[in-house]
Amino acid sequence: MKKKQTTILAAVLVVLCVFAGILYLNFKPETTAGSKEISVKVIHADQSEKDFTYHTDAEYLGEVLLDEKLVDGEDSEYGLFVTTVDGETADDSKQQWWCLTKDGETVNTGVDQTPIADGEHYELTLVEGY
Amino acid sequence: MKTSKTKEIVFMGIMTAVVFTGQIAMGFLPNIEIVTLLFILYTLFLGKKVFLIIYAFVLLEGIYYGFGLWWFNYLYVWTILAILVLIFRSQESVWFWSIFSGFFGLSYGALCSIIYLFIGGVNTAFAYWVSGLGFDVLHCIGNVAVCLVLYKPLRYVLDKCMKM
Repeated sequence: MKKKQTTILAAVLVVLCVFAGILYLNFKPETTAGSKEISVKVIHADQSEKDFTYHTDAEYLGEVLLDEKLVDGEDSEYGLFVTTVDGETADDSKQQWWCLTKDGETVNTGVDQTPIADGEHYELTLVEGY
Repeated sequence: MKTSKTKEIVFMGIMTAVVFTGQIAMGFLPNIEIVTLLFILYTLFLGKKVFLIIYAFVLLEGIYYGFGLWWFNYLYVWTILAILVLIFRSQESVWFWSIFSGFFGLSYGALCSIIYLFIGGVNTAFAYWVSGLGFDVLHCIGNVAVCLVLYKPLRYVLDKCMKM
């Protein structure tokens, strides 16, 4: 009886995994193909600002920023962890980190999981304190 | 009596160190982790005392990685796991615990999205959950595999340690 229950539980788990896969494929963040123009404002620790405009066919922000060598970072389990932007590296000892925002609003995805569309504006700000 | 209490505290300290080190050591693998299995085993061996290890682990994680939004997820996600293990603690089959840890891995994103319900509402929570579903499936498969392979050896080691 216990064996039967375990088999049923395993079957339910497999079905749920398939359902989750289908749900993911249908609802995952969509990207826009084709030529896109995006702008990125970099705000350094000294509050100086620099604007960059890129034309790209990339689907995710991380691809553009890496291709254009605007950012550098480390691969982590959550994707690219940005450590350097426009030549300035976040200093861990000062609890500095690069914060990604879109039109001033917090972005809940990492740079290489953020889909881009034509005309979008992003900001990369070096902030202090976790 | 005093010796036994001291021994227990020392063991719990070692168990916390093992789960913390295990998390960091496997941190580079996408959603393949040993924390779930260790907390299942710790709960089976320690009962309610496992909560002390959970919160010590969560505190250490915060100190090591920084106290971000994810840290609040950690506060309740592992607590929910331990409560569920306590409910099913009479089970001894490795298959049961492997499937159980698979369910936990699959629902991990959903559990973490709860916090976004309060921050951004239903749409934000749903978007967060769906965007991570691919990782949740991987988490599920990883948990089942890790538990199938390591449940019995780790249980044996813990059993020996507890009898020391």
